[in-house]
Order: sequence, then structure tokens, then C-alpha cells
Amino acid sequence: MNTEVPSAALADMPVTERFEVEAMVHVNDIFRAALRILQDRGRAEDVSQEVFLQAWKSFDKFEAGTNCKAWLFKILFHCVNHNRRKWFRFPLLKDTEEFLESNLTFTPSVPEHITDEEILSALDKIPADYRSVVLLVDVEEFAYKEAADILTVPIGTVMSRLSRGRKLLREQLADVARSYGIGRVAQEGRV
Amino acid sequence: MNNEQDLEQENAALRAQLQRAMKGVDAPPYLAARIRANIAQPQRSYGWLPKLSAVAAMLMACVGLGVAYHLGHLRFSAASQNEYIASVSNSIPTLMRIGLGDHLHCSYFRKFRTEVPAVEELAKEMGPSHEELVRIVRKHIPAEFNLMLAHECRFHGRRFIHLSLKNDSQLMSLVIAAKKDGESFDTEGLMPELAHSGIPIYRTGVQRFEMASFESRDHLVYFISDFSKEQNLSLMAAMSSEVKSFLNAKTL
Repeated sequence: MNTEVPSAALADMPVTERFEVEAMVHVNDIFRAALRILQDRGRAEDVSQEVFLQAWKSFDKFEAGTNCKAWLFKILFHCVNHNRRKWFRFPLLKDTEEFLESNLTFTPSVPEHITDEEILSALDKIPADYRSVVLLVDVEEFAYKEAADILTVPIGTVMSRLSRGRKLLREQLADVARSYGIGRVAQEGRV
Repeated sequence: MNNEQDLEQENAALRAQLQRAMKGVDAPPYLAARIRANIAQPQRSYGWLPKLSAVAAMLMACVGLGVAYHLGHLRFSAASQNEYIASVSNSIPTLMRIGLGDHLHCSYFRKFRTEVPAVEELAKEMGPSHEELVRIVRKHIPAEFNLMLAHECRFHGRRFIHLSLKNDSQLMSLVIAAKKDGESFDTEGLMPELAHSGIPIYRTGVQRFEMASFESRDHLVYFISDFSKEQNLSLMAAMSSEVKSFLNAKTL
């Protein structure tokens, strides 16, 4: 929800102005999420543009003052899913489940000194379904219910994917730490 | 990490670092400008498409109805039926119009009853003097065609003997008119299409109606159907000598 402009004032604005105030302020958020999901700048730009065009076309259906960012993210995931077959195949969750069963037996600690590039690189390496939930809940701070609505999955799925996504992220970061030769002893003891 | 609190703290730190790292990536400056430029353009709207489809469907329906009307369908009033008879008759020779007019008036625009009348019943209705004609027609026309009508009638002041047969989709009539004032296909200047047993048979056609005709001493005989030219001529040829003999032995 836009917190700076009251709902009543938004409702009185011309539609272009309201779109600017409510939607266009999220261009960066949408682009960042698209980039992390798609891992390709060109596609991320195209999808972001598509998201805002679709939002503009159906902006009359959007209720002024409600959560525009969540609405845009819902459109984003719709666009991504729509284009997914055209571009590439996300790893299937079934495969990921098997991967998790065999790999997530402990929660590795997060290395203390890690760069932004390394954390983003680690995020990029976790399967798309988990990455999406981590992005929505941990980065964009959507509530579980909102994330479930955006992804059109049950809230329980969001919770389990978040838990597993975080563990996978830690695992990736632990790999980074191991590549620096740190953290071996600590990890060996944790179950 | 051995307890939940530590794990939660570490998660919070990880979240914060993740958010910081994400915020470090900005959309290219031209992206917002490109989006604004795109949404400022009038979007191609397809809202007119259903309306256009409806108009197209309506036009097609009108054209269809127009064609159907032109072909003689949907003529419910006597005036419109007469108008149709006059319009199709214009394109055929004058003597041929006599038979076509009666066929259209008595058969084409008639609502036949659904049950097929018994041949004997129709023969009886025509009277004993014409029972033989029913027998001749029944003998030559394929059995799938039911004799629906056999009567004497008047159209445009002229007397006719009219037998009409139909199946599910095709209609045919044998129409016999009494000659007036020396009417003859020969004097009309028509060329016979064929001669069968020495009887010249003339033909013409308009729209779906195929006509074959010959004359007896006192009568003009027409066979009108939805068949092909060849089928229509051959059926007329097959009946012609028997019908002619019958008519030459009778007076209308």
C-alpha cells in the first residue's frame, strides 16, 4: 500500500498520475526481482516492461490504496510463468525435493564476511521455486499470505519453501566460505 | 549455532544483508522512461472486435436471408410468391412459364402434409379418368419419391392437371396444361433438346428448376424438378410416349 498519499486523495487523482504514484515507484523492486528470477538483464527488462504495461491496461480494476506492490508482483510472476516455456525450463520442484532430502541434513552457518555479489550469486544458485519465496518474504517483506497469493500456492507451501530456501541459501554461502578455507570445523559438528 | 535464538538472529542478519545486496542493483535509468513512453502511447484496443464480429455475423445473416429470398424461400405472402414467380419466369421462354408458374404456385410454395397420402387415395381424388396418369408417373419415377399431390387446379386462368412428388430434399412436378389458341413449342421457335419415340422434348432451366416439355394434340406437358438437366430429360423422355398416348385419348 502507498503510505504517503491517502486513499481518498489517490481516488481523486487522474489515472496517469495515480499510476505514477502507486505503480511506477516500484519499477526498481520489480526489475530486481525479475533479474533474480530470470538471471538475465535483457529478459528482466522485457518482463518488467510487460508487467507495467499489463498493470496499466488493467489499472482500472486495481482498487486505489490497496497493496499495489503485491499486485505488481502477482503480475510479475504471471508474466514469468507465461514466458517460462518460451525461454527455458525452471528445474522441477520434484527434482529439487530429492536434492533437498539428500543434502539438507544440517543448517550451515553464514560466513561473517560475505560480499553483496556473493550473497546474490548464492541466491541465484538455489532453485527458482525457493528463490521466489525467499525474494518475496525475506527481501520484499511480504507476509506469508501475500506471498501465497502472489505465487498462487497454499500458505503452507510458502512456509516450507521459505524454510528450505533459507537452508539452501546458507548451504550456498557455506560453500563460499569453504572456498575461502573457513568454517569447516564448525560445520562438521552441526546436525 | 546451537539454539533457535542464534539461528533467528543469523537469519535476520542474512535477511538484512540480502536486502542490502538487492537494493544495490537498480533498474537501468531508461527502463522507467521506456515504460512511461509505452503506456503514454494509445494502446491498441480490441474492444471493437466483438462488435465487428456481431456486425459481420449480422451482415452475413442478412446476405444469407437475401439470397434465400432471391431463391424463393421466405416468401410467405401470396404477393411475394407471385413476385418471385414473375421474376424467375422472365428468364425462360413464354410457353415454359405456364408450367413453371403452376409448379411454383402449387408445389414449391405449398406446405405438404407430413404423412404421405396413399396413391390409391390420390388416384381416386383425380377421378377415374385420370387414374391411369397416376399409374404412369408412379411407374417411371423412382420409388423413393412419394406422390404427394395429384389434382386439377387453376392458375392465372388456366386449367392444369398437376402431380407432385418429393423425397426429403427434392421436388418434382408433372404439369399438364390445356393448349390455348394454337400454342405450340414449335411455333414458339424453341429447338427440341432431344426426340424420344418421335416426340420432340424441349428444355429450359432457371435457378434450381430444370424443365423438360413436350406437347400432345391439346396439351402442353411439363416435367419440372430439382434434378440435373440429363436426369430431368431422361425421366421426361421415359414417360413421354405413355403420357402422350393417354392425353391424346382424353380431353381436359
